[in-house]
Amino acid sequence: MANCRDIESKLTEYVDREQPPAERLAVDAHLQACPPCRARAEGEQVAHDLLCSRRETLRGSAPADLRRRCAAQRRTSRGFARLTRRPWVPLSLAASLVLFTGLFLFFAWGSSVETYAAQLAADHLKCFQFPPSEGAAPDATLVGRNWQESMGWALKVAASAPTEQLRLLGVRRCGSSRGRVAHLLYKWRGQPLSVYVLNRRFDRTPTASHDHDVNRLGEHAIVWTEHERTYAVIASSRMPDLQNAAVYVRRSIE
Amino acid sequence: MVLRRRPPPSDSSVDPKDDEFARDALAYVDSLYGTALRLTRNRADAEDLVQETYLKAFRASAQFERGTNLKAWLFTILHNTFRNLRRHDVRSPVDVDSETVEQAVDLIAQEHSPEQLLTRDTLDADLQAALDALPEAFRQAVWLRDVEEFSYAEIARIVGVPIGTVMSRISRGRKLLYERLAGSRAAVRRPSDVA
Repeated sequence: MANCRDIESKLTEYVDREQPPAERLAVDAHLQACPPCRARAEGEQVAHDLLCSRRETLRGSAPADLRRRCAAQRRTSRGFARLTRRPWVPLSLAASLVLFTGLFLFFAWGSSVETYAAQLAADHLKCFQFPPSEGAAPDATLVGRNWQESMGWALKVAASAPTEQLRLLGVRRCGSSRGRVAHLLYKWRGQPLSVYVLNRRFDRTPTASHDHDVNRLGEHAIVWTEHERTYAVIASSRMPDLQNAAVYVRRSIE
Repeated sequence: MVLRRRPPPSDSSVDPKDDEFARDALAYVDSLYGTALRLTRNRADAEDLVQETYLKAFRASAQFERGTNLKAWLFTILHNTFRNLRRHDVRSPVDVDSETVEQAVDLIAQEHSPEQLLTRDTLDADLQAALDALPEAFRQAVWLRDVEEFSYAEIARIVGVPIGTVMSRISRGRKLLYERLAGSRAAVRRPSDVA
């Protein structure tokens, strides 16, 4: 008769009913005679049955917004596929990138805040191509709490305000920031508005009270630092309209 | 400078095979999301992971061999992407050596008599919590086998370990899951013991 160690290595197949009949009979014989092995086999069988019976519930379903974004990846990949079919294109793009970077540094490196605002403006435009669905506005406190639980740092979120025609849509992690930048998405007077929160003071932001008004990629940004966080409000609206939205956001996080 | 939004490319030039591939691949979004949630234990990370998986899958669709297991192929991309992301993410917990975990499980083995009632009485939330509390290597193996119904060989390819290791992890994962569920049920029954 097989010993307990032999049986242990066969329990997975036994529970899954994947063994040939003769081998299964041998395991059965051992389990009849060995209460500890029998208890273990029965325990594993219970866990297996439980998981199988709850398969659908456990799997759950993906959020509708995620489905949409996954389907949209196909469009993104088509551009990539076209690019890889024509080898001269990446070379040409690389050359253009070098040229663009040079020009960008020459004209825009007046302040690293401006560079940061340009990055955020690009992210704002990209992110709003696939905005969250506009169902019931999420609760700002809950959004902040969930963010803290998952990212480990406190995030104050300006709530929806009908008087300001501001509506909170949701929060996303900003692209490649690995959780250091929260991107809060709003609809403001029917237009996309983003509030970015960086969980540290921006290196070269001069003082807490100093606002930067930056125009990049056709979007306007107001950047400031407060309570060891750097904030940026971005929308296509011109000053001083955007200033009003920034004032509201600022009051909400005080 | 104003960024002009380019209209999405027309679908008229799309290969019907690509359409079929996209349709079949997108049918697994629930499974991939559920698995990503078990891996990351965080909704935002799980969504990022699934989105990245689809981007890679669509880009590499020409490499997929028609007629082979598309689901296993997508899951392999998902797991590889997760491993790569975690390698660069300082927030992630340190990956626990599988052998160490397996020895630790043996040390905390408890004497629980199997109870079939457990199957009926366990709440979904308890089961989710018990699953999430399993060491990652065991959680992956048990999930892929019992929830996603992959074969041992498919799991071995997805996770990148030998078949024998897969079977051992499934067995130990189920054992530990049972012990956690039975243990928490006993604690609920005897609150005085807890105090």
